[in-house]
Amino acid sequence: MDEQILIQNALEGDLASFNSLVLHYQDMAYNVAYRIMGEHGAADDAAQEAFISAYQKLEQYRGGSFKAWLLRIVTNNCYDELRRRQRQPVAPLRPEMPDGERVEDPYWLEDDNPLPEEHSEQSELQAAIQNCINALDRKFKVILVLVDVEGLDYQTAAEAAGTPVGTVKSRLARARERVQECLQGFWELLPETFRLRDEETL
Amino acid sequence: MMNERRRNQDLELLSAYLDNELSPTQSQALEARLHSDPDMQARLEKLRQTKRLLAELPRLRAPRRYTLSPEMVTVRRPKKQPFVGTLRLTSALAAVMLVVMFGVEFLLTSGPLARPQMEAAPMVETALDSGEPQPLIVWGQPGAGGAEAKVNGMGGGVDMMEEPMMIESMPVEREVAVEDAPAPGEMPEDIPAGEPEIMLEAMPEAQEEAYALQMPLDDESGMPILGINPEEGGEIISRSSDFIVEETTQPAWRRALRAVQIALGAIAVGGGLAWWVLRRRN
Repeated sequence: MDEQILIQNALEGDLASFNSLVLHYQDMAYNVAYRIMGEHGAADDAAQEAFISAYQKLEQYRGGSFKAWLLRIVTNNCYDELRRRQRQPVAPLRPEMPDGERVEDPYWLEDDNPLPEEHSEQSELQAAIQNCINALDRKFKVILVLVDVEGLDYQTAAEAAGTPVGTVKSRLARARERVQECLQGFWELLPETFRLRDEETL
Repeated sequence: MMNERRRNQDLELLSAYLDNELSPTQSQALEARLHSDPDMQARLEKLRQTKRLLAELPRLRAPRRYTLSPEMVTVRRPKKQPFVGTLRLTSALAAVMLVVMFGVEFLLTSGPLARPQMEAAPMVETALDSGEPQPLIVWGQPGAGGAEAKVNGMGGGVDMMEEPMMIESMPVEREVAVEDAPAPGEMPEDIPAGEPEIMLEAMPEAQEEAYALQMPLDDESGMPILGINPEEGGEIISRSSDFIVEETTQPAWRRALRAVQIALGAIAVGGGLAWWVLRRRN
């Protein structure tokens, strides 16, 4: 069904129409949230919150790209959560036994069966790349994820990030360079072509 | 500095070139540089590899459905109550008005605008300038025998004259007269009894009607005892309380101003507190 019709129906209170939009965009929302947050649990919360917020604020949607509008809510949720974590750092989950000995792996964290997406991420290179993304500053990270991970063009990324296109352009260039520098620390993991070309330039 | 800036500009050009976000003119210019500059080529290749690695990251699927149920939709976040903004605005306005009112009051009482009122205050001087004769003794005025008589106990227990003496007012030269006149507690002893006329002669007759104070005289000196009202049977009279009441009583406009200031202060503080509490609750 046409996206605009679904939006119009949702505005009139048709929750089923809105849920059709949710099903269409939920993977994108989760993927972006995960790449920004770097954690499955936080990404899950951010994505769910984003859809609830989107429904509640649907009357604020003024046309244009619904995808960009929705991604802006997702990225804002991630921003808020990252900011909150920066203010209130989370204490490590290292509960103590009655005798005072610290438990390294509490039983409720034990899970030998990784989720499918976690299984795919066991590739060390992918983990290294995600590590480099996590190390980026928030404003660079969001642009990099929107353009290079999600594949948005500059204009849509600018709408989703709420910044001018020129800012997207400069932040993306710097973010790519920083990731590239970060990846040098994972030299042995990089593809051969990447290494050979880099060796040539050294 | 220049090199760093130039380097960043080149980095942006190369990055945008990878995404086909350069204009045809910019692309042609950059391609010309790439043909002749191996360093630029190397940088472009590194960026291309990085972009490729990022694009090869797996697209994660949502671990569950995020579809909304009617319960989830009805349990909305507590919206900002509409009166919270009004509360904050009212509190701020009240605070501003309070400051303005304090400023206006200051200008009216102490500032340059207060001059007309201040000039009206010294009534004695004005009255003297007008040539109107002033009384030597004013009942109830501090320092003129009223309050001090009570404090010092002057006149207490003194027998009253059967026929109170009429005291005439002093001439216009009040300051001199006051200076010359003995203070209530310093009545000169060398003045014989029955000679108060010496002082009274100096008083003009014009003030008889206004200040025909019937003063009791001391038995021994014959001088008037200041601070005693013969009509009140030798009681120690002090109207200083009247004076004090008159002094502390504020004008009506100031009382109204004070009430408004208190009300504004209450609104500012109360509104601010309420807004803060509501904000914390949300």
